[in-house]
Amino acid sequence: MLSTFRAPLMRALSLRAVTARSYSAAKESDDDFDSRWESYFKRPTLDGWELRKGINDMQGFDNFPEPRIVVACLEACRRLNEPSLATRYLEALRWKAGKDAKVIYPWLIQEIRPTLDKLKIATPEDLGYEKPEFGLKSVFEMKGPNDY
Amino acid sequence: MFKVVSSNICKKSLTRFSIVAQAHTAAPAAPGHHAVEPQFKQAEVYPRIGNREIVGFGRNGEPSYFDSPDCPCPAVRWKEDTPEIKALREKAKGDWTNLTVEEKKILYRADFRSTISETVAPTGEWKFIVGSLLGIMGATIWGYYFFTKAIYPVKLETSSNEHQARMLERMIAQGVGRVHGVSSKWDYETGTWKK
Repeated sequence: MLSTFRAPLMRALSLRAVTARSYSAAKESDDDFDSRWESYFKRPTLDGWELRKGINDMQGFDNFPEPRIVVACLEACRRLNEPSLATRYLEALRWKAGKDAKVIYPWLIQEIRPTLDKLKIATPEDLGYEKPEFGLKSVFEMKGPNDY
Repeated sequence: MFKVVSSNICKKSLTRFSIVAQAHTAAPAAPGHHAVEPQFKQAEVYPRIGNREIVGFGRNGEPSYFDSPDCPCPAVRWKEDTPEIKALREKAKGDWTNLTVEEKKILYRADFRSTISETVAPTGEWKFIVGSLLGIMGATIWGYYFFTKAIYPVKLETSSNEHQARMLERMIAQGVGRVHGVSSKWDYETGTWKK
């Protein structure tokens, strides 16, 4: 008797599961997101154009990158022989941390310190760029191309 | 100084920058993507940017430069390629221990006009604005003083009390406001104000 109930019961349950499926795009888990970006930067045929596009896109996201994504990006900079881009990326991350920069940024540097030492990447503090160095005019006040 | 370039050449060579799909996809791109030969000579087709190398998409695909913390990698390098900078870039292909701090700074300034901390640094423009505002308020107060002391106190003959009494007498004689106005309060029989 139980078996005569069970088959239609199972069918009913599976039907309910089917109708409960949402038709919007599947939400990606955090891990998948991180892995996708890490593998994007780890791709050996990455070129400078894609690296920069990746950095600019990540800068617009509403989340802070995991240290392993930062490490993958810095290693891509090393592969493409761009020391200034690595420093620029760290500066951008410091800005991205916003109000919590005093907490997040030192933590990030500490997490990626092995990579920084291995690849000899200069942090903005090493170059003295955490404070403004030049007082350049805004482009709206310049009177010519050489008026700094 | 400028070479006039026909517009169809420009359109053709800018398509590289409007292809968004190649970057930032979930699936790994085909291994041959990397080789896109430029079908133009840089300085010929881009009279705007001269000898600068185009390095990325920037914000919208145009080969322009601007510093912005939310778009940290612009589309072109900042400085034009000179032999010194080329030599430093060659050096950067080796181990970065050989690059001194000064050389790293030179490379950074060759790629970027200002650091991000310089971009977001306060400009002090607020002092100019507050100063102008206070100056305008001060000028307004001076104007008010001038107007109230020099322009407004006008001596009219008709303001004096004697003139007003003469006017009132004439109004009563004419019968102005006989129903509800001034003359209604005047008793014409006795020639005095009504009680």
